[in-house]
Amino acid sequence: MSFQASQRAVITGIGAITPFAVGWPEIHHAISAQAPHYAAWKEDLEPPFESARLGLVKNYPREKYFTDRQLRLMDKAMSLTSVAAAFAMEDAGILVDGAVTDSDNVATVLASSRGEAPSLYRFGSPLFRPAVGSVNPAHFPMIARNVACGQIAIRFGLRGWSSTIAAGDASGAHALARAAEMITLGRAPVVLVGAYEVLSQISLHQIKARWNKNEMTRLVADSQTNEYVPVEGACFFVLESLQRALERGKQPYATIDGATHGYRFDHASEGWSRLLERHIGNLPSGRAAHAGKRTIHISGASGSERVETPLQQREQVIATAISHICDAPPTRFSRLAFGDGGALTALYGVASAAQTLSRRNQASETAADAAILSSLTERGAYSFLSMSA
Amino acid sequence: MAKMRRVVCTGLGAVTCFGSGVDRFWNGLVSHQSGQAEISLFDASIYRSNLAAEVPQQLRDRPEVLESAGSPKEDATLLATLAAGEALADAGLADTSKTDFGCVIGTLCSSSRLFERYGRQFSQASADRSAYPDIDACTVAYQLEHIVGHFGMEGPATLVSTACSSSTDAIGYAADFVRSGEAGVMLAGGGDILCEMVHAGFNSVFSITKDSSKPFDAARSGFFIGEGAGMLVLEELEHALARGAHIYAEVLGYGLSNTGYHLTATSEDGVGEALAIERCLKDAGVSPPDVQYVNAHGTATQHNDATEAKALRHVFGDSLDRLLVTSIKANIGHCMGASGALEAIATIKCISEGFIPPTLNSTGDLDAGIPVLVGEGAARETRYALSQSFGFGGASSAVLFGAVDRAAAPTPAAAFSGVHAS
Repeated sequence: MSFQASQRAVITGIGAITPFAVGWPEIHHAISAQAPHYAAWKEDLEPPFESARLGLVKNYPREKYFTDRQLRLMDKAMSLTSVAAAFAMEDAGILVDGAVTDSDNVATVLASSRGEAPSLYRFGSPLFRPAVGSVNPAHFPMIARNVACGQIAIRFGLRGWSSTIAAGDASGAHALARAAEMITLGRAPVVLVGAYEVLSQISLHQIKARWNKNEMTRLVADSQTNEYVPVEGACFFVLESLQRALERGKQPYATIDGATHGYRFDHASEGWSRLLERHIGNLPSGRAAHAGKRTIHISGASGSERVETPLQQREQVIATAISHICDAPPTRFSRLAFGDGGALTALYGVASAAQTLSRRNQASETAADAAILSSLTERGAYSFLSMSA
Repeated sequence: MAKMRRVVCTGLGAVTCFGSGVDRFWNGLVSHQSGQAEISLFDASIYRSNLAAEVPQQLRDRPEVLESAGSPKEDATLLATLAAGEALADAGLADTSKTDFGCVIGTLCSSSRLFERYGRQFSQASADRSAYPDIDACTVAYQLEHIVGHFGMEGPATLVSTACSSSTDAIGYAADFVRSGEAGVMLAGGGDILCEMVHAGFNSVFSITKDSSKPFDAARSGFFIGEGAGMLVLEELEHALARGAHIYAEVLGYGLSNTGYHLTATSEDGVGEALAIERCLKDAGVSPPDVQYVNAHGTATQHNDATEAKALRHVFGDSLDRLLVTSIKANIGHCMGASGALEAIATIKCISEGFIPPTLNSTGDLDAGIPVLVGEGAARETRYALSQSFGFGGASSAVLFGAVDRAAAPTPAAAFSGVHAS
């Protein structure tokens, strides 16, 4: 979407939970200090390659927002997303003393690539292994991908526009684009948007199967070069109109100027350049959004960062095209720091960009005025997102 | 704010228990047929109810059908691709390889039968890789990826999964892409299938009827799951007029909400569901008294139908009696995430045919009192018609269709620049 309507969508709150830190400031600090360490692959499941690591979320403050009884009725997706959502709303200053301002109009948009697999398997297990007994009706709702979104709505009384995106690893970028559109079209004064992934034995088995099948594996002859770390976690943003943020005295992290997404498989630079030109041309200020400005390019793609794959080739073509359109933007990869977060990966890139853009007035090597984020998936999905200070 | 483009529907495609094609679907509705039957896809004798409405088996078995859909590895994707092919042919749009030709899919159960197969192998710790189904086809996004690849689309493409309201949400979101100018033409809808997990789940919460589906009837006892797919071609009005396309109806607006009430149950007062309807009417700029027909979610469960009646009374108030309300779930079953797209097609056909088929098996005598159309159906010129869906997780969605008012079309100067190749 090109956000040329009367409202500009800005990010005023960030909340995230990763395997190595809880809360965006802590995560940002850990990343800056190059602190992330991941666990070894689960012992009872053969890893896809020897050096594979795993990122599981162990501790996060669920009890702050839910009673023990409530937590017993939830799966990890529901509690993880609710807590990360609460962090974002607290950061934005719209969750005060447990209540959300204008909650009937706060919209919710959630995304996940593979997050439902653990609860699908848990619910279906009695059918897969008949000796286990009959299905548990209490686990039934958790097979729906939007139930974590529903839990957030219930916990915080949010009754605005609501949707859940499940377009594979591209879901996070799609969700953010849709949330920004809800602001620009005036459909909601505030949108809580985020993504999550959770892992279980069957998730890891499926990730391994995908790894074994996809084209990268065949190219990764030397597993020592690999940095593939499947992770779980949640990342949320509060979006609102610039006008609303300023009226309530809230300094935004960044503005979301436009998003474009679709599917494209080829490596021809002309096609990608045309798509990028079109994306930038659709921004409210067109090429002026990036011309002469300090622009950073944040790239998140599926799979490994350090091996030459068709996906990486596409990514390089895009990086080159962006460098021609903007002023020599450096490329930064979020995957190395955050692991393979499925739908989360693009949003970690957005959070990183927002953090950088919010410090634009500081004399820093990382200061920037604008950002372009590009996301690619093995399945051919691409997303471009433009942000500015 | 820039003036929004007007969005019209120029192509329809459907696969239901009545077979492949919108004509079979519509004929089934107007001739009061029901696809309800005992389940053949798995042994359902162990469940409280063994009723469902499966698509005819020959649709899955015929190689030429499979090939025409690009040989998808998953059944919901097959149904959705067949429906998409029919919709595009109906719209007269053969070449879909365009940068601003995209789609929004809405589905809940796509790939679920393959996930069951995967789960069975995994639970038995099978080390035989060949025993597992294709991993990519085991994820819900496969339906989107197959359709995009099969039709060569390069425009905006995504998938929403908001339980049983998924494809109503998808239609509205797809319309947004056309309204904003981001896409010239969009496919919207989705396909869903029957799987044992979901049948077992709804049995466990007593939602599956043991006799017949009776929406909005005091003696209602639940639904049976249906299989099917519905697809709509949406495009900008001027583009459709310029190429002489047949226009079924205009997509006037849509609305979403979350009830914020319960993970499975509809709300007690209907207000959370009503928010989606009110937002839809506001988006469309249409007042409640102007709406003449509502294709309801109408699952025939005690709770849903009572809540839905309250939601309609909340929105329409004194003008409620001018409405006609129907549910088609007694005909084709509850098609889960695809139900909204099939009900949208039924709604559009009601506008274009000037006839509203009745609610099957119902006396319409539920306590809350809404004007449910029963009996033989009714010939009625309909200008504004609403289609609405509710789902787990509090998801609620509504879309408003209208007869096309060509006189109110924008001037040629504001016309759409057309679908262009990348």
